Amino acid sequence: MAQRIILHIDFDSFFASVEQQCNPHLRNHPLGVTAANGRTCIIASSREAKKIGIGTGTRTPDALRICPTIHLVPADCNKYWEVSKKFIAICKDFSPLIEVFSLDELFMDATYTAHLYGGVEGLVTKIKTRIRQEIGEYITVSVGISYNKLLAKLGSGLRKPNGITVISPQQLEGIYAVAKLQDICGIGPRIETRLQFMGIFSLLQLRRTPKSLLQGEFWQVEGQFLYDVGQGIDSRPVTSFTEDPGVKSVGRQYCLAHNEHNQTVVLQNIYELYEEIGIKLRRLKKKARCVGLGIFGAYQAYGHITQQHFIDSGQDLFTAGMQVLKRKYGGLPPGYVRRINVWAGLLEDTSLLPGPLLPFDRKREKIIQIVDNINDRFGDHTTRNGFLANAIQLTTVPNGWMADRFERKKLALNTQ
Amino acid sequence: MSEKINEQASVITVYDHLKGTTQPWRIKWRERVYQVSEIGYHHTRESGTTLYHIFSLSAGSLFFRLSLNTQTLVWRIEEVADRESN
Repeated sequence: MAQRIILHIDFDSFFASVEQQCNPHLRNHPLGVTAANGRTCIIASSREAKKIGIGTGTRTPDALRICPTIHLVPADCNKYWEVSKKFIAICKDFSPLIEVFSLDELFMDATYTAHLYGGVEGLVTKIKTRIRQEIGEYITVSVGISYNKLLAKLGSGLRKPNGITVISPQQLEGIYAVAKLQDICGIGPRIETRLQFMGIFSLLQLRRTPKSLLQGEFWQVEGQFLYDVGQGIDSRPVTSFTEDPGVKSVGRQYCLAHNEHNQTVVLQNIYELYEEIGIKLRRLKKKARCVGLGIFGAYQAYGHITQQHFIDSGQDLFTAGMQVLKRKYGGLPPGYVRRINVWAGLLEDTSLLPGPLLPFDRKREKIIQIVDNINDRFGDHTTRNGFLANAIQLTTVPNGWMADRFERKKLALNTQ
Repeated sequence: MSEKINEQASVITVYDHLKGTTQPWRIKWRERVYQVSEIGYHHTRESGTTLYHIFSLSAGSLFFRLSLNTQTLVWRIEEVADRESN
């Protein structure tokens, strides 16, 4: 079998580049994209801002101290979503094997299509040209080309912006000599620290470490992963966007606009988040039996509850979430709240579950269906529960990480 | 300075049959006429079943975000910013 040709295509400073593409006055100048709800943190910075030390996560006052003339613009996730759709549509023309990895990056298996474009370099050149013509000249991508996903991902991060890095088996040692441990997707600060305790400070040292030693420290699975990283082995296929995402749970995390002391507002936000995962469950045609809730701020309250019956409505999910709080903490604890995390697991297909027995439940199911239809037609949150009448609407667009497999598939299938 | 607004505007568009694109060419807003100098980006947005075309463009020292509601064919200016916006 021929060696695989795997590409990892990654936008450079995605959110910031899109803003600079839209508004020519923002180009060639430090720019920070801030959270749309007004949180004082930069969620994406432009190339110009990165050069002067303003990166993702920098607090706005710190950024203004470094560069008082920095442009700060609120994130417009709809716009990024649209750019991503165009990007995926372009890539789909070059190979049917596309795996959307996040909003601004994807894997492509070009093993059987690269020859149609004069080789992999020709294919990459054509993709870059089409991105420039169809999306904009200020938006660039960096590409990693290798024989597996692990090394393709490593390659795209090595030469940014607008770079192309090829990693062949012969070049592996040379690349490992310059790359850092944390350049590998899957090695974070904690694993790096543990490796350093073992005397492993570079990828070359990791390459020469025996498997038994790694498995002794990190156990079977993680040890095997680290050994494979050292050897440059990764047999994971590029999972096409057409394949079933195999959703195991749905969740939503939201950082409030400011540290919120008002308990009604906190409860409204929790309700809205459960409504969102309820909508997602119904779109997936699934129901959940396990409901989780996490609240972070002046205190940390988190837990989950597993029920006998399956649910998919926002109200039921909210009630279950409140039970978590009541059982563990006696209700919503006092103090400010910064972040809310809700999720639902132990999913089952609705078609495999018995329908509601009582007339009241049947009516309620019908009402939920009607509300969904209204919201599908006139926009999200057109019809809301009375509890949310005066609450601020949350945006239902997922963040750039796109951890949600269902959203990834929706994005890939929904391209032009 | 950047400002979110929601006002109707008069827009002259140009259709290019070779490229197959329609783009705003001139905007009349608050009794002043602005000549479009560059289209930064064009994308669509859906709100329910209504499709909006969003044009991010510059006209001299100003930046505009224009939306066209394809159901009512109404043009609106959603955002205006000047070059010194921060």
